[in-house]
Amino acid sequence: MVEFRKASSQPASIKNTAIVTAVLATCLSSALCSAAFAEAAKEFRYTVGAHANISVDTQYGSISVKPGTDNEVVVTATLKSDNVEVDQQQNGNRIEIASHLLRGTDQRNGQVDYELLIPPDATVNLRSSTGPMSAERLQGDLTLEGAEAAVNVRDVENGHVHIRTMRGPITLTDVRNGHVEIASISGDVHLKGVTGPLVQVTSGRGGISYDGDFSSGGEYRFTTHTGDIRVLVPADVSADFKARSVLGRVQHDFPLKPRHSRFPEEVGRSFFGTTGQASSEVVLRSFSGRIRLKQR
Amino acid sequence: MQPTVTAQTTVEPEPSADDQQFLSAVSTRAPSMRATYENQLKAVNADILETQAYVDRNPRDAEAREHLMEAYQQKALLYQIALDRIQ
Repeated sequence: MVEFRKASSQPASIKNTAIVTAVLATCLSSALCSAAFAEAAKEFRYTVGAHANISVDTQYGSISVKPGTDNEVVVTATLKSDNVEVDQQQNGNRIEIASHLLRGTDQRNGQVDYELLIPPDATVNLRSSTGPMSAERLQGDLTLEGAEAAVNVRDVENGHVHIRTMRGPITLTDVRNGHVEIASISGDVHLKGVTGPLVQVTSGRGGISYDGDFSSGGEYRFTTHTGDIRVLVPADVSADFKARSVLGRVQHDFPLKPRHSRFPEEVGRSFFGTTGQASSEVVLRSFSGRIRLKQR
Repeated sequence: MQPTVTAQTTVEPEPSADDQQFLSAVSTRAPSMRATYENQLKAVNADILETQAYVDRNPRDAEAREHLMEAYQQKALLYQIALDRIQ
């Protein structure tokens, strides 16, 4: 591992030792010290084998992950103050990076933004309260967790994608052959071109939108409590649909073939039926949100 | 059997002892996040209360019972996210 200090740290106006001494003397509080701190970027490099496991955990700040070379992990951490440090370690094929907040640190001076270039087959675990977090063009398993963090996953295939947020919006675009599990308390979830053997989304007060074809012969389960569910699919979609909102309205514009259901169909509250060969199972459930299935 | 639907009202549930302990931990370790977690907790508790009331009126509605269980899972998720963050 090699560390480079790319940039730091003194204002241009501080030109001689006497002035530096005076400034330091007045920097009695950490707040004043951090005000004098410009951004600092640190770079860490690690050599890894196949299927490396990489974790990044930061309280405040963004995390962006993109594919690099097959045997190297490059982490660039941009620190917003000297009230925060980066702890990092490599144990074999496992790399752990974490922001270490010093006493008295808050969101303003505790932020560290991370950019990672990793082997595409690596397993990735990202945590950030504030985010945003993004991952793209990867093929390993991804786990992203945050409180208010916006999450963006794009052009990912063949891996598990697990996401948990409190209220940050979640967007998945072109996730193929994925085992996708998303849970949010009040964040909106947007899925575009997402397919796989299992795509499961739960949001309490957030809405769920899906724009895709429900291919892969998979199981797609979308559930909200009060949030709306909006689904946009092509006319030739092949799926077995079950939709019910206990207190909300449901609506579709497909000529569905009727099927047996354990629940009695209530007009305006539920619909059940198949299209095409019914190769995928699609379950849309809400307690009081609206559900709408629409042809593209 | 048609479900019994009544007009929805906004209910402000009292925080339980567990909730108060949870919010107290948030206040101590992450005071700036207290209001956010408190609002989310109120919302989740209101969802639980609303669903429980519906299930009480419609005990044979299996789907509503699933929603009740999921509302509790949402509360568990909120606790998990908060406690992960404030350690």
